[in-house]
Amino acid sequence: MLTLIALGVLGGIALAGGAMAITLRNPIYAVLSLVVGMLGIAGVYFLLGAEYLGAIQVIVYAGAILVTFLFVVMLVSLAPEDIPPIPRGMPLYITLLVAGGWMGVLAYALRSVVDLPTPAQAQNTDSDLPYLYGTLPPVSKTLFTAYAFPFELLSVTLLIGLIGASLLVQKRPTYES
Amino acid sequence: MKAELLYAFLTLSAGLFSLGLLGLLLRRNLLLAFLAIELLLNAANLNFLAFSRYHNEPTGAVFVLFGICLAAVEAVIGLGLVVRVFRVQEDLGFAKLSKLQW
Repeated sequence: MLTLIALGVLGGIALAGGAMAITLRNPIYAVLSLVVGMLGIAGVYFLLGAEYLGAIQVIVYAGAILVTFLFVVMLVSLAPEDIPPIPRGMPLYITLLVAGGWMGVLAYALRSVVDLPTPAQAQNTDSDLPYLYGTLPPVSKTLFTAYAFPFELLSVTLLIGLIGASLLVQKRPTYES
Repeated sequence: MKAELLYAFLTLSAGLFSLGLLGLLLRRNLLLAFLAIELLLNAANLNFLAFSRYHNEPTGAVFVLFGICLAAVEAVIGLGLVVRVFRVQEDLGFAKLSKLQW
């Protein structure tokens, strides 16, 4: 029960931050409210007992990715009047219908997880206390044994992203010159 | 964790996903569309972690770690594209976004 209340509060923060991020006219405020939403999601991660990923969410998402977004918003000097207003009338209703219908479909389809059998490992721990699956030792053990090769591939992917981004933004000579 | 609680977490994730979808469809600006994509990615990560907790098994957490790293790469490439497009036409609206040539 306590978990459900905490989930309501933290999930409410996450949803409110996300809703403000997609409605606010000023792009800087939109990015900052998404930071608040990411902190709410990090709180949900902590609630799920994944302390390590909650910290990573705060550091990498709220701290690095969204700050990069903020840099780019300032770099391209996006003013609120550059942002097209949210469409009114028919397009808005159709979009709301699509997103709301998708939410309804998801909520209905996910209803079947209630009938899932309780997994064998969790049967003797029926309390709402978080387990230790998400702390650093089990995560890193899985990461460096079963997923060592994908981990190495991921570092190569980061390198490719680095090279690609620097190639994208550098000034190139035009073909005419 | 009980299955009902799992359902609550999955519903939150579905709500975040729908918000991201809504933002992607409503914001007609390249940069703000990327912001909505971040919401979509986070909804997927939340699902992974909820099931990871349900099965008490760290594999889902490892995949969330991969997902966050790939989101960082995606953000860097996407923001590079934004800067590039801005340098060419100084307008990030979808209406004028019809070519990716330099």
